[in-house]
Amino acid sequence: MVEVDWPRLLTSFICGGFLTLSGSLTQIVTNNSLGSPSTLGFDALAALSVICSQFLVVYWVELPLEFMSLTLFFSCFTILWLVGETVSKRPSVRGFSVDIKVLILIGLGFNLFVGAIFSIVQFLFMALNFEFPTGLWFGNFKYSNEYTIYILFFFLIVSVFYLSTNAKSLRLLSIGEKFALGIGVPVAKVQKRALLVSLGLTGVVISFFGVFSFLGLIVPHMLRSFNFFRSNMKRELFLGPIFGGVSLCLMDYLCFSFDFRGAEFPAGMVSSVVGALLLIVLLIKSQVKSFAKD
Amino acid sequence: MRITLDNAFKINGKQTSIDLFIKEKAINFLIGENGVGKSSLFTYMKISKDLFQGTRVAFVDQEKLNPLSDLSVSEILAVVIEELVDVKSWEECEHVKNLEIEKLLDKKVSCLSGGENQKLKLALGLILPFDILLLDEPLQSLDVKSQKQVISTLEDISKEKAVLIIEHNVKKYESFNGCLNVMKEGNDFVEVSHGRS
Repeated sequence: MVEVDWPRLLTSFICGGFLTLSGSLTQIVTNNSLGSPSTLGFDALAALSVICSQFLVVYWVELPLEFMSLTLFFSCFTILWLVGETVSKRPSVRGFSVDIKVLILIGLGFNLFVGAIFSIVQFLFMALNFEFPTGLWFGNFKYSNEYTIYILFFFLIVSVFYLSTNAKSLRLLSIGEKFALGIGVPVAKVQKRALLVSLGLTGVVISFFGVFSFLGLIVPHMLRSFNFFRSNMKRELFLGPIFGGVSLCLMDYLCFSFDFRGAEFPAGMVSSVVGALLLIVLLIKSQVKSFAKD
Repeated sequence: MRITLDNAFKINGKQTSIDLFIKEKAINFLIGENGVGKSSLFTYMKISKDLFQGTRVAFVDQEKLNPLSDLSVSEILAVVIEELVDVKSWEECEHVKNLEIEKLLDKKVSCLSGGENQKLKLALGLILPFDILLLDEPLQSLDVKSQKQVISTLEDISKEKAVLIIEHNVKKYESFNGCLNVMKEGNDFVEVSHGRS
């Protein structure tokens, strides 16, 4: 008889959905199917808050690590939001406040920066004889409990509300930024909101369960190769997260069932490896296609 | 319709004043040298809708349309019809029919040539309800036959509604009956002025 850990299954399902949705949103905003929370540096920001909170928990406040990192992340998030609000007050001739190339480059820089911080922290942990939080770096659902599920449910409700009010403008935005601007979609506002939702959802998942790279990049990309999702952006926004959820669920279940010498594979590690490989395949495939066309 | 604005915004760091006249039921032009900021003005008109005092305006961009998911032409038209317009099919719109886009319907947008993309953008603009049609270089990358087609479509439209075209070669349009607006750049200002015709 197979034992099923329902809370864990549910958690991984919701997290997969969140990551997929935030991937879809960043891709719509950047109008580029390579945009994702990982390439824009959202992953790095959230991971940084996990690393910092590891220190805070030891030296300052007695709080479970995941809640500490969530608090830290959302403080950063609020500051970012306030800065964004004040900067983009007056309308500019350009029309949209987010320049995507700059955004991607900043994300890249941020990823590198966090990589450097990460190695410093690794060194410090070693020097101070702390236990290194590998479990939090690579995403896995070992530590899911009922409180985390409540918080995830809260964010689920928020994102469903967001989607139902914004799906139309997102769909029109996905056709083209300038086109959307011409028909009266408040592009800058929609973009900013989508990025914030995407950042928030990624942050929740990473603060609680660690990094699952590439899931948000790969799942929307794969879905769009089916006509059903390609022809209607709303389907991708509403049904895509379900597919992402199921795939993460499956991945986590497999990791749970096949352990390596008693140690469990972190699902985040598997998703990174599988996702990165699939990304390379997809890129090569699209290159071959455009080459054949010429 | 006259649009006036004094030092409302900056183009290339220079204060811009606008005195633009759009004659109704005619094709109007906005001309100016390269880099004077015609397309910036175009974008500014998009984001400040109150410029037009509630008149419905449709815009046709200069840049290629490049949707995130690789939709076909008919799918894009379907999205616009589903979300924005009250018609059942693009064929109900007479002006779009004149563009002869039947051949393109099954093509993916990424496979369209520059001229075909231009036609698609025109079709998307024309399918929306509007009183003023604003176009940014609508003839670019079109062949001679399509240019004639587009010009005659625009002339048809100008019998009922106002059209404003941003262009640097007005000679292509034979029956030019509207107002010529000129965009000029000074040392520290940019101005748009009109000579009525």
